[in-house]
Amino acid sequence: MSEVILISKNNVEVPISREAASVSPVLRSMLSSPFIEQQQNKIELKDIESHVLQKVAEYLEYHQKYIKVSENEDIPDFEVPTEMSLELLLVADYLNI
Amino acid sequence: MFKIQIRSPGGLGDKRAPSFGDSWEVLKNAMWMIYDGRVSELSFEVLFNVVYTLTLRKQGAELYEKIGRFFEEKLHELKISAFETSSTNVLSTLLQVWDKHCESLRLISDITMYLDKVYCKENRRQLIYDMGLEKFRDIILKASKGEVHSQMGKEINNARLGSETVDFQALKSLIAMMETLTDISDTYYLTEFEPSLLQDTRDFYRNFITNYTGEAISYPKEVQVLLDKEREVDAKFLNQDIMIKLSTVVEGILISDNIQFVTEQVVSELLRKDLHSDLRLMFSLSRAPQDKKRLWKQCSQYISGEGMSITGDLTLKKRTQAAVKWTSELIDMKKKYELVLRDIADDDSIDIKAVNEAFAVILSHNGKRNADFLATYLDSLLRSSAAEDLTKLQMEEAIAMFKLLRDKDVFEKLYLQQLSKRLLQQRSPIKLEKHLVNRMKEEVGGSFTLKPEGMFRDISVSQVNNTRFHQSYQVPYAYDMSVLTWTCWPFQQTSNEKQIILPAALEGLKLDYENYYMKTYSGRVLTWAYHLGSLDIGFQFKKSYHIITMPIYAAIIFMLFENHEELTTQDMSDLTNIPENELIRNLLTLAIAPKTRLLKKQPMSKKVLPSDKFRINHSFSSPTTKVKVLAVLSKSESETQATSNNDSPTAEILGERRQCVEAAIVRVLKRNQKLYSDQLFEKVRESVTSRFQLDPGTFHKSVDRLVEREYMQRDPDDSSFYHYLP
Repeated sequence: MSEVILISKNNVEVPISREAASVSPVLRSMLSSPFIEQQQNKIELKDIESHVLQKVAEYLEYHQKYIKVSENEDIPDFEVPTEMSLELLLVADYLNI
Repeated sequence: MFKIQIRSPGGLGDKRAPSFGDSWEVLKNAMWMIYDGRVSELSFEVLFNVVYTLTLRKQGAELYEKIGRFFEEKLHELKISAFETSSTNVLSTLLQVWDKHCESLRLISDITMYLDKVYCKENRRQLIYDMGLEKFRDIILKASKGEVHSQMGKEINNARLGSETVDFQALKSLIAMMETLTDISDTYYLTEFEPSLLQDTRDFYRNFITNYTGEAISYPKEVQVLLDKEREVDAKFLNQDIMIKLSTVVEGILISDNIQFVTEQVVSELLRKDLHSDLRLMFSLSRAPQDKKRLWKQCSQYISGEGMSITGDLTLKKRTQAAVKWTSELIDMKKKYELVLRDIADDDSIDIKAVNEAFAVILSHNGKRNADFLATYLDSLLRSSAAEDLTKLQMEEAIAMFKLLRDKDVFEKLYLQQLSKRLLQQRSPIKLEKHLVNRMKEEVGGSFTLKPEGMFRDISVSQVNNTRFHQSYQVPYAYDMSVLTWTCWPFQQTSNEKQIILPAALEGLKLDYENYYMKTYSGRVLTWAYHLGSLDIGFQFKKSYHIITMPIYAAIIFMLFENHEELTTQDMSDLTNIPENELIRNLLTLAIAPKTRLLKKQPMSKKVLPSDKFRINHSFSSPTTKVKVLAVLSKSESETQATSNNDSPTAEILGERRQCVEAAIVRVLKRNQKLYSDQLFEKVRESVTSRFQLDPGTFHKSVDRLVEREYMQRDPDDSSFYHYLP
């Protein structure tokens, strides 16, 4: 499973699987078209704080993991710290998640 | 996906973003680079961010317009560089531009994803991608429409002609492009190209038809080849739906529009030459229901034409032979075509209908004669001594024809006459007769068979009576008497005849029987119908002994010579009271017919005059002991037969029809009280159809007569509306 590296505001690198990244149409487009991002396998998201980006990556992996699981099975809740929620929403809008 | 959208004033990132102009420059340059194929130098994220920022700053509308204008500019430029400078094929250039545009458009629309999501959807604008396609359509495709369409049409026609150089891949891509582009509410393909494609196709095949010089009989195969070829070509660049449309168009041109040629020449010719597999092909190619109908109709017409060309062979001396020959030829033909057409039809009901229609036409074609022939055919079947099973089989075929016969009353007339003869002369197995009648009853209903059934009853009752009579009286001769209910039998009543003077032996017998009969059934009147009977007389001629079967009248005459050596015609008339025409007829039989010359006539001539003298011809001889004397037809009778040969139903039958129609009209009107003329006609036609075909002339005359006789009246306001008068 190939990995992609997301880079946050403070140059913190957040690795994420390509499949998980593709949950966001924006990230998917970046990776499927022959832009710089695809060649370098790195996506710079300089507007996003590292802890927020971390959380986003977590969510993407979480989503990727449970998307195929049927409703009947237990899906653990995804914890979102309240103070981060506004920032997360903005990022979600940006990445079209 | 989150539905809620919360916008903080600046959104993500830098609060002091660059001005719109600067941002647009960045984007514009990037788009140029995309079209130039330098995507790898660009950062998606940077561009995406620019769009994001501009959109968030409520500059989406402006951005949208600018992008639109950019497409226009770019496409105009591409158009000039591609179409106006290159001399290569228009189609391949178009495809190149299209591919480039699509590729770039895809990338651009990825970058502007946020604009699509936030601005376009909320303001109900087209997505960037769709807008880009539309610009392409308007600027590139529509501008070169005429040329593109005609080029494609040319390519396709080349392919139809079997050219090897056709680039199907290109055609396929072009069609795909046209299907991607929308126009008005449908795809560009549907609104713009398809009509032109269909028109080209039509022209191509019309051209083929106009120049068709092949033989009619090879047409089905040619069409098959063309259709196969068309499908083969189409399959290379078109999808299933369009292929079906095209096939329909081609079939329409080759068959529906050419139906006259197909039916009048192809189908007829194929039938004439018995090319049944090609005929089947022609049918399977003609898929439209109305075409199929035409084909069936043509078959039907052809068959009836052929059937009518089987004219009864009038050179044959005997009518019976002609009738038998005609009928069996017709039956064979019917079998043949039933086989052929059943093979063709996928649905049994139609084929039989076509054959049946044809034969109904054939059978009513010669009016009375064909009905007579059919009856005569049955007559000869029943008289033949063939095995019962075979006869039944042949009878079945004849009944099938009978079913189709329209003038059943004509048939009935002759059938009853012949049936009565067969029954009285015991010339046919009664079992088969009953079988035939039962079959007819099944086919056309009971009213038709009332009389035959009555006849059968009379015959069997008479047989019982004969046995009883023989038991209770001393009867010197073998003697069969049939008592007939006169309404059932097709004979004229004989009651107004003068009392015939019988020879003593017969007179005694007659009185005995009358006696017997009156005892058994009192209150009935017996009338003797001598002209129907026959008698066996044994006589020793000079050379040999013969048992002679002859009609009663002839026998009476013959027996006169027991007591007389020589008699004139006048003498005989006085001695017997036989009506003059019968007397002359029987004398002709006995004295002139070559094989049964039992009497000598003086002078020898072909005419019988009152003064002619007769005596027994003792030198008569015959190779067999049993001799049958057949009554010759008197001149006047044979003349009426001759004239009635080929004409329409005789006056007698017309009279019966008139009564039948009048009765039906009154019946129908009584039930309905009031009806319009055409409704009445329809109902009456239905009710008499099992007997004959009602023609409007007869109908109207009958109506007029009934109005005159006040069975019904015309409505005072509407002369085509009738009321029943109780």
